[in-house]
Amino acid sequence: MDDAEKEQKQTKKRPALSDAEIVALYRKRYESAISETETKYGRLLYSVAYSILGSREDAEECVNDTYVRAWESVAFDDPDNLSAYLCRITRNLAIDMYRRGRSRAETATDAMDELADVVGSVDSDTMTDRVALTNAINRFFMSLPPKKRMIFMRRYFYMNSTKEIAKMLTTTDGAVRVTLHGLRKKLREYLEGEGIVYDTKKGK
Amino acid sequence: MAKASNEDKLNLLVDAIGEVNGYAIRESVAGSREMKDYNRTKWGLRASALALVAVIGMTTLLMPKKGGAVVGPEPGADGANVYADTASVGNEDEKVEFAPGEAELTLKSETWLFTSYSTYEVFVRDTLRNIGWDYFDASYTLYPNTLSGSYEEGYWMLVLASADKCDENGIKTGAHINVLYKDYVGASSPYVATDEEPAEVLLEKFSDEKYDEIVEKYGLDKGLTDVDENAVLHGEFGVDPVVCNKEEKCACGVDYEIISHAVSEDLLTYAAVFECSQGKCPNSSYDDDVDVLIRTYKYEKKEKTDSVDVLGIVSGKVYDIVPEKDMLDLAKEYLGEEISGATFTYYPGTLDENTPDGPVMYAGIHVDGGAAELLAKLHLSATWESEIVEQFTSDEYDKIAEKYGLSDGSGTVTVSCDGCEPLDISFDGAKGRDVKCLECGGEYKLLSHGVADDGVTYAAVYKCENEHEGDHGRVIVLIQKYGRSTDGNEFVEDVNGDGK
Repeated sequence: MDDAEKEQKQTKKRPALSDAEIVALYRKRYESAISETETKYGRLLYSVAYSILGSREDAEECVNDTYVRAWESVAFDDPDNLSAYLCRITRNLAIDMYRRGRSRAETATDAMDELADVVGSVDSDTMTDRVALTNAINRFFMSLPPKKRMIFMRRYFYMNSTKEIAKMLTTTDGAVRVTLHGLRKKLREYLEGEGIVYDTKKGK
Repeated sequence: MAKASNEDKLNLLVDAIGEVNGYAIRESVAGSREMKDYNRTKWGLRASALALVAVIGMTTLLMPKKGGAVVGPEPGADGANVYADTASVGNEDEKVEFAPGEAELTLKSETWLFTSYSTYEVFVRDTLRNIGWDYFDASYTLYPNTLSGSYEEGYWMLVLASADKCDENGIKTGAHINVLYKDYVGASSPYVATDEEPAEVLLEKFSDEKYDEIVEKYGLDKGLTDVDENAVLHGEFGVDPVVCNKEEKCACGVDYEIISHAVSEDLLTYAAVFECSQGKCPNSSYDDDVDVLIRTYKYEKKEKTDSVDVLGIVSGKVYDIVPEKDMLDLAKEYLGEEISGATFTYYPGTLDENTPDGPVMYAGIHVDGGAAELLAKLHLSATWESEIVEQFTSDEYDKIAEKYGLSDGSGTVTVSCDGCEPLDISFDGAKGRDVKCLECGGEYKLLSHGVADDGVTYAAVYKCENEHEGDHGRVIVLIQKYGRSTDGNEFVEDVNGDGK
């Protein structure tokens, strides 16, 4: 076994660095920050991108873009939770690629269609700005029981299919869809109540 | 707000979800693993369940669901009263709104009702055998929000079994079906399983693709299904369902765990589905107990003992009193000499309606600028003539005033009723302006007014604004009684004095 092989084997055996250690690498501008990120979160980020894009090549490209974005921003943002931070970057990059039509996972399209119900009909007026909407959604999320919050996140953040979510939670696809149906309805009502979205047919 | 296309709005929403806080993202990554482990032990069939089906066989099918064994307090034993912040009762057409403190939310009944996964399993097995499934793996979703029925007649709710077909080794074959049941859950229900009538009624068998239709058809998403376990129930009941349920223990003495809970559409029935936190209760002959707690609340309007809604005239009378001309004649007759003129002071505060002679009040006659002071007793009833009862000097006025209570009284009526705070009503005589002169239809002007000793009778003396030939102007006394009542419809205003 040559030195390179030994080093590779040792690398494989070494446990992943903690998030704080990885963030420290970004701060010090060590390129190993990216490899450590890939080691620890590569698969997770790939799954996030793949759920939305449904294409192996595009998902890999999306994850690579995530590393570039992380290289630029982690030191500045100093995230409390690196995995959530990276997932958000990947997810939003994937959504951008989805919108550009590079590739689209069927489950993501279904999820988008479902969310369209929440924002209302063509005749509806508009929503307020993104910050207000994000704040409202955060409040809505935190009002949900953990299980429902998780189902909502899995479907509309990660764009997982209802079958995948059912499998994760060891429940039925039908039960997940019923829950999502109720959550969309509740979100719509919540956003209407907050004055963020409303139907001009109903009035504000 | 600026106008935006639907696509813009959808993008905004998708982006906003993408910016959700890190806690939710982290939780959804870590939590899904934990939830999976949790559910593996809590839900669905255990590996042994398939074998159990064969053992239970028809014995369980025909067995009443735990018979009448009531776990927890007897119905109504709690008897707790809780107050609603706001609530409404009744259907849309006759909804009654209660303000805080006006409504009392009473726990009407309480009972524990139950079924078990193994019971469901038997029903599902029989259903699936009919379509050629000998082995299956099923999980169950209970919908407490579909709860219907009553305490007396029993309750039912919908239960969904989602089943995967298996081979004889328990390996899933890929075939999947959903079966919706109507489950009668009342231990006191006439629908408890008997030899003749199973407790569950099969409603539908359907594929996943039909799920949305089923949801809509049976209202699986109706009601208030999102009752936060850590929040006050529906924000209205003032009852924390978790606290309620934690008071109760399984028969084995272990706390129950809530599986799901909801409020039915009538907003008065709360249902919670839960099971022994040990999973299989060692004291139970059943596998995987699932108990349903149903609490029915009833709003009752509180008795109005401390407040009064309506205040007004209880009765009203108008009396013609002796005209000023007649008052002069009366004074002339009493003094036995000609007088050139007089002024009059009416004392409505001296009104006494309950003398043997009928209602009376006093009036002072100030003759010729103080040449004589007379006190007249005015009979308001037409059957009696007024009379002079005292002659006195100006220096004696105080003594006379005290003797006859000549204070004209305040313009304030203090009304009260049993158990309520007295309430003052002030008058400026304006009410009298509603009364027109019976002779010429002219407006009356207020001469004086006061409150009788009883505190609820208000009297005002008015004179018509028009000069009436021969009587120097028409004078009337308006008497009104005021009171408080919880029913404003009972007030009578008889301002014409004719009893109509």
